[in-house]
Order: sequence, then structure tokens, then C-alpha cells
Amino acid sequence: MKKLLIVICFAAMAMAAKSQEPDATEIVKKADANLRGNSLYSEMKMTIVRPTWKREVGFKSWSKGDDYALILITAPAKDKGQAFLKRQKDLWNWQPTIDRMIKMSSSVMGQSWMGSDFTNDDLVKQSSAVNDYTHALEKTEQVREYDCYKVVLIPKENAAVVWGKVIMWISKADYVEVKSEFYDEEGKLINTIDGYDIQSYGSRKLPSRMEVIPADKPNQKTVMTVIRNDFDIPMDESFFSQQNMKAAK
Amino acid sequence: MTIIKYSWRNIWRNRRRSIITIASVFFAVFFCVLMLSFSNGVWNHVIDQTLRTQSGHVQIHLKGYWKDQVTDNFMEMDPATIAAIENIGEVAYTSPRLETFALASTEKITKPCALAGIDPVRENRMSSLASHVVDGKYLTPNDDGILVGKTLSEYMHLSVGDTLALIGQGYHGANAAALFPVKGVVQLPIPEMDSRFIYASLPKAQEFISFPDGESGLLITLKNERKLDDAVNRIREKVDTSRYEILPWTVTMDKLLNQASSDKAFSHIIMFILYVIVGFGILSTFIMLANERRHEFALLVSLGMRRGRLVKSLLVELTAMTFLGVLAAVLVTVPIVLYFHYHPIALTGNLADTMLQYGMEGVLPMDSSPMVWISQICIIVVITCIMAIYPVRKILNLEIDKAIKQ
Repeated sequence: MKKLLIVICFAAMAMAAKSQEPDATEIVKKADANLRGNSLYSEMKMTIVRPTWKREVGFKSWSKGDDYALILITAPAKDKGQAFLKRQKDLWNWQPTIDRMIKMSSSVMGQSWMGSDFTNDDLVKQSSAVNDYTHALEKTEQVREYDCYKVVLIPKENAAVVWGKVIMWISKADYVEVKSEFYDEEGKLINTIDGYDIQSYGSRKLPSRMEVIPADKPNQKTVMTVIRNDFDIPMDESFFSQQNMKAAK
Repeated sequence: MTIIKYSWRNIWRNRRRSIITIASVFFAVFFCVLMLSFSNGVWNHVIDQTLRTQSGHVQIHLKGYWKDQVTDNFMEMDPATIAAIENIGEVAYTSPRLETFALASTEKITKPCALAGIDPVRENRMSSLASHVVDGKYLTPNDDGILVGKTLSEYMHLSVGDTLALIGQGYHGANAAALFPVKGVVQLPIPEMDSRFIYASLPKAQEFISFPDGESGLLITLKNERKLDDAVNRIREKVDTSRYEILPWTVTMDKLLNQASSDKAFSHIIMFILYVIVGFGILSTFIMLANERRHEFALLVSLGMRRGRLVKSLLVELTAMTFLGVLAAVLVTVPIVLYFHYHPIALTGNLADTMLQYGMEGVLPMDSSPMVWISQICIIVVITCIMAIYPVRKILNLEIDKAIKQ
């Protein structure tokens, strides 16, 4: 009798476990928590790959929440010292060679950032994968060596989002986005982002290399390699100022 | 021979009538020649100025540049190829260019501009740019300074010695931002250029966009623009066409060409109206002539002159009068056209401003090419021939008995 009870108990638990499919929103939340921190200092190398040429840009970036960011270019030599400052929806560019602070107007926001596959808009526009989308778990799928949840994100009706649909592949083990696809409103694939080489940064796990591949341009991509990521170091809002753009090192 | 003598006498028998006929031919040719010479002259001038200063007769670019004119489609060309092009008989000059867009900014004013990196020596041979410097000095081959268009300098309150910041798009995503001292101000004949062109030395412009030895294209001017097709073919032989594209000005300046041909079409309509007017002017003198001489014709025929012979003598008369009219018109128009060809009318005041708004210099030279006269004389002669059908038919269908009774 006791044995039977144990068996029933186990069976019930197993069934409960089976019926408790992981919630899509929960998955995205966990992945997002991995990404976001109170503040972040990072050093990166961006490699722009084009059919006939290649270019490397090094930069440091400081960010606090979604609203404040400062990026300082460290290489190549000619661009060194150039800085970008984001405060809420505004973006400034400091050009030390001509001693000019340029407020980036809406007309240049669609242009490429530093010649890469990112636009200036990508630096400013932050939509929240958690709050701005509805989530649906489609299935589990293998992406490279990772066993993943495939989650389809559809933007909520009045969310300020440029995409019509986003598909994310989030690893089951660490809740890391290993692949994302961005579609426009007509359902056409625009960009694919692949995350490689997952590493631990404190308590977080993140891909240390990301490749952005625009769908309509063959043999073209931008690779971001993380050299250093320091999460949650104390940073004051006053750090993100125009004076500091000129002084940052 | 007798016919000619007879016809010649006939012309001067009724001097007044003949002079009216000659005068109507004269005015026809006179007005048509002046009109065409003017319209061609103005356009040839605009096109010539543009080709000399802006585009050259032929341009060479990296394949794909013309469709997508971005810095990433700039080219490098080895000096040997350029030398080979310069050795072609039809080629007068070549000038490498690095043309890119940039935002020019002073403390207060910012304006989008065209930055042209030039080889100062070769550019001067092509467009005599140095002669357009109105303030400051012309560039030296490795100059750090820039030349700015006069209108641009006025708009941005720039004078020689000031510093201008330029921000543009560098090669392969590089950042292009630099400070340039203004070395001179140039007054460019094409207003559109004068208000937005900035010239820098080629090395300085290459440094600006981070592309040493880079050029947007090579401009080629020809000794004789009529040999455009020959020249393009010969250049094609010297250049690796899988890498470069070779474009004649009829392609690169197609907008200007369209504008010219639509403007010319309009003057053709006016000329057509002119032809109709002069055609009927000539016809009216012919009708007058045929009717006044009905009795005379009838008398001659009844005295035994064959109608064919009579027609012949009349045609000789008409031909002679037309010839006199044309000759007079040529004698009068040649000096006028030549004078205004070498001393173009310079517009002033409102009219000049209007021209400037259309992107033309306020100068109206005349076209002195022989084709102006040849084409107009041919057209007037054809019109006269058509009109001559009337008096000829009059003779052939003459009813002798009725006419002789008059």
C-alpha cells in the first residue's frame, strides 16, 4: 500500500511536470534578465565585413538602464576620441578632429552607425522584449549545439516597435538568446542575429560574440566581440553629459 | 542664256514687286538664322561651360559608381593607364577628381556642399580654375587649404584665412571630419556650382575620406567634341573595362541634355510659326506676281512661246530673286552673329537673376557654326520652291483667250 502511494505520488508529480509547459513570457523574462542590469561597462570590438573589405572598430561603452549610454571609439587611430551620447531619445556625436558636438537629427537616424549594419536608430530605440511584445512558445529546436525554446514575439498594438515579428531561440540551459530573427510588417526577414561563445559575466551568461546579418545583402555582416563586460558597477546619471563625452577615456 | 537674260530683265521691269519678293526672302532667312544661332549659342555655351568645369567630355569610374555614387565605389587608377589615355590623339586633358558630399559648418551656419578633390595643375589646364579666383590664392598640389565658391562664401560669411569644418562619409565606413583653412574664393560660371562647390587638393581630400590614392573618377576633355564616339572607343581599348566604366557626357549630363533638347524643341515650335509666316509672305508676292502678269503670259503664249519655256524663265526669275534675298541675308547676318559670338550680350538686372535661377549664366552668345546658315537657307529655299508651284500652275493652266482680253 505504501509502495503504491509512492508510485502514485511519483506519477502525479511526473504528470504535473509534463503539463507544466514552460511559459513563453517567463522564458523571455529570464533571457532579458540575463541581458539587462542596472548599469554596464563594456569594451567591444566591432568587425564590419563587406564583400570586398573588412574594418575593425574598437569602443568602450557605459550604460545605465535604457535611457543613458555613452560610447567612446578607441580604434582605428583616425576615429579615436569620437564619442556618442544617448540621453532618452536624443543622440549626440562628439567629433574631436573638428571640435564639434553634433546633435543627430531624425534625418540621419536611419543611416549606418560607423559604417556597420547597425543604424543610429538602433542605438537609441530600445524596445523591451518583455513589455512590448506578446509571446508564444512555438516548439523546442536545436540551434547549433544548443537545445532551445523557439519563441515568437508579436509587438503589442501600441508599442513603438519597428518590427512586425521577432523570433528568438533561447537556450534551455542558460536562458541565453543564441539566435534572433527580425521581420518587417510584411513578414519579410530583415536581420538575423547569431550569438556565439556563451560566457559568464558575474552571475549572468551572455554570448561573447554576436553576428548581425542583414538578409538582403549577401556576404555582409557585422560582428561584435565582447572583450569585457562589467555589470552593475555604480554609475551616476551625471556621468552621461556632453562634458564627459569630451573627457571620457 | 537668253532665258537668263530675259529673266534678269523681267526682274527689274517691275522693281518694286521684285524688291518685295526679295525682301520677304531676306527677312525669312534673317530672322530664322538669328533665332537659331541664338538658341544654339546659349545652349552650347551652357553645355561647354558645364563640360569644362564639371563633367568633362568623358568620365571613367569604377564599375557601378554611376548608379550608386557613394565613397565605397571610389576607384584607384594606376598612372600608366592615365598616361596611356593622355596619349590618345583625341584627348586634350585629363583631370582626376574626388567628388563627395560633405556638410560644411562654421560656428553658426551649416550647409550641405560638394567637395571636389582636384589635382590643381591638371584641373587648371582643363577648366582654368585659377583664373576664377577672386580672392586669396589658388591651390598648390599638396595644399591643406580649400577654395570655396563665391556665393557659398557669402552665404557662410567666409573669407580667406577662416576655417571651415567638413563632415562627410569616409571610405569603407571611416569617419570623415576635418578642419580646412579657406585659401581662396572662386567665382564659378555655373551658379549651381558657385553656391555649393568646395575645392581641395587631391591628397587632402583623400586624407579626409581615408582613402589614399582614391578618386571618384577621371574626367577627360577632348580636343574636338564632335569626335566623342571615336574617343570613347579608343579610351575603351586602353582601360580594363571589366573594372572601370567609361561614360560619355551624353550619359553623365543627360539631365542637361534633356533640358537643352526640351528648350530647343520649344524654339523649334516658334521657328515653325516663323516659317509659316514667311512662307505665306513669299506666297503672297508670288500670287501678286502671277496675277499681275496674266495678260503678259497670255500674250507671250499666243505669240508662240511654248509654255514650258515660259515656266523655265519664270523659275529662273524666282530662283534669282530667292538667291538675292538669301545673299543679302547672309551678308547682313554674318557680321551680326560673329559680333555677338565674340561679344556675347551680358544680361543685367532682373533678367540676369531669372537666368541664374534656371542655372544659366546671364550671358547670351551666338552660335556661328556654318550649319546655322546652311540649315536655314535650305529650309527657306524648300519653302520658296513649294510656293513657286502656284505661279507655275497658273502658267500651265492659263486660259489664253480669257487672259488676253483683260
